[in-house]
Amino acid sequence: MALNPACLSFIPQLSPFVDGELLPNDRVTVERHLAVCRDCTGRVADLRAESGLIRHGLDLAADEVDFKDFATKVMARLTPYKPPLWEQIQISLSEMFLYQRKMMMASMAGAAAVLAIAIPTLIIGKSIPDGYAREMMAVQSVTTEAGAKVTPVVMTSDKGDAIIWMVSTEQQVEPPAPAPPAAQDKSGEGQKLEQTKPKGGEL
Amino acid sequence: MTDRLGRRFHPYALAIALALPGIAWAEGNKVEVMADVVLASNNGNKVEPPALEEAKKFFEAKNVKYSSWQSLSQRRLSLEPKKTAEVPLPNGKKAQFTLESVANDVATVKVTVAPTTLTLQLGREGNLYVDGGQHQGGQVFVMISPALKPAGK
Repeated sequence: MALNPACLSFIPQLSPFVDGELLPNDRVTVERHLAVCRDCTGRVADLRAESGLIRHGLDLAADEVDFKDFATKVMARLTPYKPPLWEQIQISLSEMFLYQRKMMMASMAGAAAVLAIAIPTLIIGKSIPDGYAREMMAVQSVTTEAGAKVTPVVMTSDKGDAIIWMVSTEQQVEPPAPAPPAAQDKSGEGQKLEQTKPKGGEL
Repeated sequence: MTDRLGRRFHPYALAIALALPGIAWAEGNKVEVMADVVLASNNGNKVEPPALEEAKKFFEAKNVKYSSWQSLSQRRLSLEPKKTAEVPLPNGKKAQFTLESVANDVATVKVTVAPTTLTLQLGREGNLYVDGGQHQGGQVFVMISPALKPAGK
């Protein structure tokens, strides 16, 4: 059978036409051609019959297979997907902002308020270093090791300054004898120790 | 998925997480103190650094006169509870600093320059001059002063 030259451009489009894969304009063009071409109409009928046979054959083949536990078996072979932590956080935050926007905004505002109060408080508090709540330095006690031949002398000022001298008591304790009370565990404060002559400097 | 992750990362947890650094920043139990080693003598008239003029005047007010004051070392000690920091002295002795306690933000520090041990409370004003023994014909003092300014400033 001689092929109509007009059919040459339409034959490749017949299968997509049967499968519904043509664009609307192409489909209209093919339908116009089919309306006047008996050969191509026959070809389309053959394609539809062939498609029906294939579908029927596949249905028969599928009926022979047992799909009873198919879904269960497939799911059992899948490894559960565990997203990385950063992805979990991103998803969580995006979902929280999407579905719990009001609560999130309230929480953020609360956190911002806490920081707005806490940071200035901390900055002000930190202007005085830790341990310096007291205004002036203060000597609480001065002691010497047992047997040490020195006695502490504390000279203080009203500005928190103090000199802690060690004055030899060797001449005072001769001959060797138990150290006088002044030389052992003696607090420097509240005593009139400034009268004792220090060992250094010009007085 | 939403419910599962939502339970894991609750908004309140986020608020707490935002506040935690501030809470952590507020903590810390180190106490800093300045420990200068000073040599006072009557060899010359040099006062170095000039800030030691204050010490010279204080001693003179107590009728103790040294014409020369020299700073041999300056150290900023960071004291931790029950840990001892040492400052070596030029005459072989050493000054040991121990933070005894911090109560009501008042630090109590024990300073030992053998054979003497003194207990002091840190304050924002005042300098303590602890006898450190003799060295090269002069007198060594450990000058203890408050470390009020941040390190490096």
